[in-house]
Amino acid sequence: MTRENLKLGRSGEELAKEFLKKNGYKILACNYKDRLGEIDIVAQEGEIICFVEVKTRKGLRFGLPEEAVFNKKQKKLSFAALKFLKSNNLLDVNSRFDVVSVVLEAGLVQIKLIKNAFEFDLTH
Amino acid sequence: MLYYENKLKSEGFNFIVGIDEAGRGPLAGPVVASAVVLLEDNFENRIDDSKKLSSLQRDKAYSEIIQKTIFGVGIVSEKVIDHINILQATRLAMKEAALQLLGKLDPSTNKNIHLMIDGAIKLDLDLPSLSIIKGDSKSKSIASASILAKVTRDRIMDDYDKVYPNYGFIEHKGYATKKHKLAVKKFGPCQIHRTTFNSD
Repeated sequence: MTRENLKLGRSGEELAKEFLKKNGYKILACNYKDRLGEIDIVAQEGEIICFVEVKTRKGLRFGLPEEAVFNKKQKKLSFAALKFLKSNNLLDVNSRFDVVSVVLEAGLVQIKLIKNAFEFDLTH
Repeated sequence: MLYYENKLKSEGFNFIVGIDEAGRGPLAGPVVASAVVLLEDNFENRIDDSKKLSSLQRDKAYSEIIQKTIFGVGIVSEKVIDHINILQATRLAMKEAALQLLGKLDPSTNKNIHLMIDGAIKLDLDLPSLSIIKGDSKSKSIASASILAKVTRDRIMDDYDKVYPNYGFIEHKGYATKKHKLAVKKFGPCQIHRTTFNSD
């Protein structure tokens, strides 16, 4: 990842965080790291723990950002999410995976939230 | 099935230990290993790679094996698997099984011990050791160990099924069957699901 991409990603995460807060999410953790993967944002909406993947794109040349959460990524996020739930003793709480897509184009910001974007996949 | 045992006996070893594991592949539950020294060569039940036997055959063989062998069992929980990795956890389970068995041997007898381990795993025990690929279908000692490990693990998973009834552990024992995958999607993971990737 280039420095510029990383900066773009981080600013996307900041925008996503603000967006989630405005939509009633409580932010629990950011950039939660596991050996295999990293969860951009862990938040709580009502009684549900949400693992949020933020996808940021400048323009739509490479397709919609939410299309970039591939199967392999879903597995990595699943293992990281399980780790989070276990280490915080939250396995009994309902949880789900959301994707926030941030598109920056011509000075405009477009943010979209996809709830329950995918489900736990712990297969190898 | 006694080729390796007889060969090592002819080389002067009098305690030949077969070691195998069960549960490296599943998404949930412990990895279990067993170490076995045969006290008799003849068995009424079929002794072979545990994967080739039905669960009824394994149960019958299990009862006979615990009568006719000295054995040790090592169990490493998913909690430890999460912390180290599945390969290290498997080695740990095998080592614990071997040490438990060694502890049962009469300290007064002269012991020439040789290990035979299924697969390509090496243990850091100060004993001569042979790694045999597909050892569970080539050696009766390793086959017996594979049955003890498999039956022990299956019984643990059957108990877990009572604690976590949503997943069907009694059927698939934690392996990635369609039913298991759907249950994880529907109910989310539980405490005994492993957070580590099995890279092999």
